[in-house]
Amino acid sequence: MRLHHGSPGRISYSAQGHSFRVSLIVSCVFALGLLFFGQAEAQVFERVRQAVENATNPFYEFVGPPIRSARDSIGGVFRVFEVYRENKILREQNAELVAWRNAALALERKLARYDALLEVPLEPDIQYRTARVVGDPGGPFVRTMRINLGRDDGVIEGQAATGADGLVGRVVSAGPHAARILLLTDLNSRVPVMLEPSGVRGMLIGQNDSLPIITYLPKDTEVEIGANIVTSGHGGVLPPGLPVGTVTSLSGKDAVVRPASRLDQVMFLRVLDYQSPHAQVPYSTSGPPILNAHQSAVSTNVAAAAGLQNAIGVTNTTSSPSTPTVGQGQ
Amino acid sequence: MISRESGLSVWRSTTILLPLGTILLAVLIMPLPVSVKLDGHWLMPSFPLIAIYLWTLLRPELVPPITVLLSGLLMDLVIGAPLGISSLAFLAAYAITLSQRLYWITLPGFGQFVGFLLMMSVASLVAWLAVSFVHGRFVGAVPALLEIIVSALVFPIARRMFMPLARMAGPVG
Repeated sequence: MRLHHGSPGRISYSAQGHSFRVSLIVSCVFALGLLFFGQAEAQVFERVRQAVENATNPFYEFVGPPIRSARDSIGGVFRVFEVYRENKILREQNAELVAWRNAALALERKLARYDALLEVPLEPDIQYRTARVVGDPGGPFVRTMRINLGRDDGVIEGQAATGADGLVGRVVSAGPHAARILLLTDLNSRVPVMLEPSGVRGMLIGQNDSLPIITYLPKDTEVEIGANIVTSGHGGVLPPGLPVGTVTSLSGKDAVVRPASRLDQVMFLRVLDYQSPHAQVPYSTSGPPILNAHQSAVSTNVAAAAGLQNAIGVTNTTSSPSTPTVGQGQ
Repeated sequence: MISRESGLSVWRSTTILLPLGTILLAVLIMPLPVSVKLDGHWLMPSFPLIAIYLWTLLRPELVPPITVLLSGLLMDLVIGAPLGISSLAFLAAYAITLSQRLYWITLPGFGQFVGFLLMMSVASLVAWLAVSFVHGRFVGAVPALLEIIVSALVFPIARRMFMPLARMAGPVG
C-alpha cells in the first residue's frame, strides 16, 4: 500500500489505498447486515455458534482448569486473612440453619399429609448432571458461561443450571460436547419468579450488572426488603421453587435482587433435567376449573418442597463434582 | 535442497500470518478464566483490541479489513454475543487507528497510549450503541468503562511484549 504523507494525521490514498478503504466500508456494511440479519434469523447463526463452540471446547477444557487452579491458589493466599472472620460467620449461620431445618422438616410432614388427603400427584424427582465451568463471559455486554457438557450428555436448551445456593441461569445453547449458560444477570435473561411468602409473581430481568431486577409486578404490590425470591415455574421450563435470591432494594416499581449464588465464583453447576407435567396440558377437562386451579396451586407448593430439596441436593448427594454424572438428589 | 531465497520467501509468507494468528489467539483467550472479579463484574482487558491497535499502528499492510471483520465474528461466536457487535467495534477501532496512524506513530510511548485510549473509547461506544440497539434500550455502560480501564493498565506491558513480534514480521513503518 503506497501512502502519500500530507499534514500529520491526513492520508491521501493511491489506487491500492482506495481499494483498502472500499474493503473497509464493505466490511462495515457486512457487519451491520449481520447485526440486523442475526436478530431476524437467529436459528441459522445458532447452529454456526454451536459448531464453533464445539470446535473450541477442547482448547478451553485443556487450558482452562490449570489457569483457574493457579488463579484460585493466588486468591487463596489472600483469603487466609478472611478465614477467621468467615469461620465466625459460618458458625452463627449454622446454628440458625439447624433451627430452620427442623421447621422445614415439620412443614414437609404436614404437606405430605395434605397430599394424601387431596390425592395430589407429586411432580417427579428432578434428575441433574454436574458440569464444570470452562469459560468466563469474555465480553463487557455478555454474561454467559461455557460448560463441559453438551447434547451427547443430555444437556438441552432451556434446562436450569443451579449452583450451591440457587439458580445461576439456564442453558441457552447446547452443542454435542459443550453448552452455554445464560446467567441471571445477562441482558437477555428472563426468569418467571415468585416472592415469598406473598406468592406475588413477576419477571426477573438481567441488567448486565450484579443485581437483576424483578419487573411486571402487579399494581400496588408491597415488596419487603429481604423477601426471598424463587422460581414460579410459569411456562413449565424451569422447575418451581428454586431459590433465586433476595430483594435488596427497590427501584421505582421494580425490586432489585441479589442472587443467592455468587455468579462470579461458580466452578461447578448442576444442570437440571426437568419436564413439567403441566407443560403440555395447561387446562384440565376432568373437573370444575376452581378445583383444578386449587390442585395446580397445591401441586406447585408440593413440587417446591420436593423439587427444592432434590434440585439443590442439600442432603445425601453422591455425585462427584469432578466428573459429569447423572444423579438424583435424595 | 531449499535455496536461501526460497527459505526467506517461506519465512516472509509465514510472518504475514502473524497478525491474523495473534489477533485470533487474543480472541480465543478472552473467555478463559483469567479475569479479575469485582463486585459481580468480570474484569478482562480487551486483548483483541490491543492486538488490532498495535498491528494497525505498526504494520497496517498486514491487517486488511477482512482480518478485523473475521476476528470480530469469531469473538461474537466464542463469547455468545449477538453477531456483528464485535465486528463493528473492531472495525471502528481499526478505522480510527488507520486514520490517525501517521500521527500517533511519530509520538513517544505516552502519545501512543493516549491514542490507544481514544481507540478503546470509540470501540466501546460503538459496541454500547450496537448492544443498546439490539435490546431496544440504553444499557448500562459500566462494564465497558471497566474494560477500558483494565485494558489501559495492561497496554504498556502488552506493547513491550508485542514489539519482538512486530519485528519478526518485517521492518516497522
